[in-house]
Amino acid sequence: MNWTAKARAATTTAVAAARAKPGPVASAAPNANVRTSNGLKEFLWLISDIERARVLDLGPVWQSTINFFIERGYRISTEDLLRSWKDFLATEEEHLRQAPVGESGERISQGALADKFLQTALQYPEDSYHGILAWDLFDYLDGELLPRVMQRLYKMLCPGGSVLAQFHSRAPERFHRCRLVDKQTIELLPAPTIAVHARVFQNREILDIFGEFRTSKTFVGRDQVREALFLK
Amino acid sequence: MWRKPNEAKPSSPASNTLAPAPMKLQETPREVAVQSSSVSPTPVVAVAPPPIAAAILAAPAPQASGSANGGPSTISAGLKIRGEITGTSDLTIDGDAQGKIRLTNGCVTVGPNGRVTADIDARDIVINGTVQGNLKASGSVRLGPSSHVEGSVLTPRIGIDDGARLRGNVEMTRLGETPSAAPEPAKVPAAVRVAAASAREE
Repeated sequence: MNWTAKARAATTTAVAAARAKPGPVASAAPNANVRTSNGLKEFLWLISDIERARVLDLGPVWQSTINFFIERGYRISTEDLLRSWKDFLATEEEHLRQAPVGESGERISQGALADKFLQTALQYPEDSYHGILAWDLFDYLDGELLPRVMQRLYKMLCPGGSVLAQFHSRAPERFHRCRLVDKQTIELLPAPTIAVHARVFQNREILDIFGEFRTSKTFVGRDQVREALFLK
Repeated sequence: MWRKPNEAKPSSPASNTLAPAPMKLQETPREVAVQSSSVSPTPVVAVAPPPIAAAILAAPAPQASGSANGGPSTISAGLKIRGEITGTSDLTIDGDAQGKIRLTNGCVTVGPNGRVTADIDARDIVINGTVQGNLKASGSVRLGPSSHVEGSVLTPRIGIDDGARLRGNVEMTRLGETPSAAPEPAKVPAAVRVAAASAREE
């Protein structure tokens, strides 16, 4: 179902009409650490019709985020992908350091590392989630890992499922983790840097990495952070 | 005027505090094999010296709180337990535990040094260490700031401190309700098990 189809369906039922499609919110949040997320509103609207929708948050686990989804009857899973990637690289580095000289001397390519990482990460069956939250993730992933992750996410999503992603228009001053405050607000929490900002994506590049997805919608905030919502 | 009437001071917390444990195990590192036999109906066969066996097999009589039996049993740092742990008293794990932990009327606490590879089924569960396995609680689950859990959480109440790590899903049950979902086989990675269980429920 795309946005048009969903809007058309929403007008036919009284229940759906009660929670009409949200419009964009123009004002930015007064607090610098809190930002209004129109992408989140749209994301929640998309999954609102699905009974006990399954949502995967690819960031750290937060009490507020868990509560938010549980209270609404959703099923929430979390997997901190950036943290897992960092831990994986640290473990690999340690193995290399401890290997005897001359043994395992060949260089491991980034592609091979990415494949090895995905043997343990994002291990979910196909069509298992209706929505995936990926704030502050794709900007930080390695060039070899990113397309593989996208491929995996696409498989994990149910048909009609959506991914909410966030992209910076310039390199952020510091590393943040995102926490959900309410249905249109997220909180940016300064955190120790666990990954270096890899690159700034142009709009065309964003569309390319989500090439398999059917439709997309982009929101640009006053802070020049772009939120992109993609539908399978 | 604003002074509140004198109230009796709350007594020391009953179940969640780690009172000095009379049955605390020896600190010297050793490995204890507690294997569940597939032939015998009783799940626990302790092949260990008496004091350790007493600690593992937990309290003799069911109580509302395990601490009433003389404090929680403790698997100290440096100890490794393999097999099934059942009982009704509280248990603190600061060492390594593998297998299955079922304390339906007790509180299981995994300390900062604790490493558990097991499904945990208890009244209350407090995690400050590392757990690979599903957590099922009829009371509450608390994930401390240094906790790292890979598996699903099934509980009526959950508390998550900042810094906690969880890879798996969270499902809520009604308070006091005993979660009926059986844990999945341990061979499959936790994330796969979680998602597969969700898919089956559909």
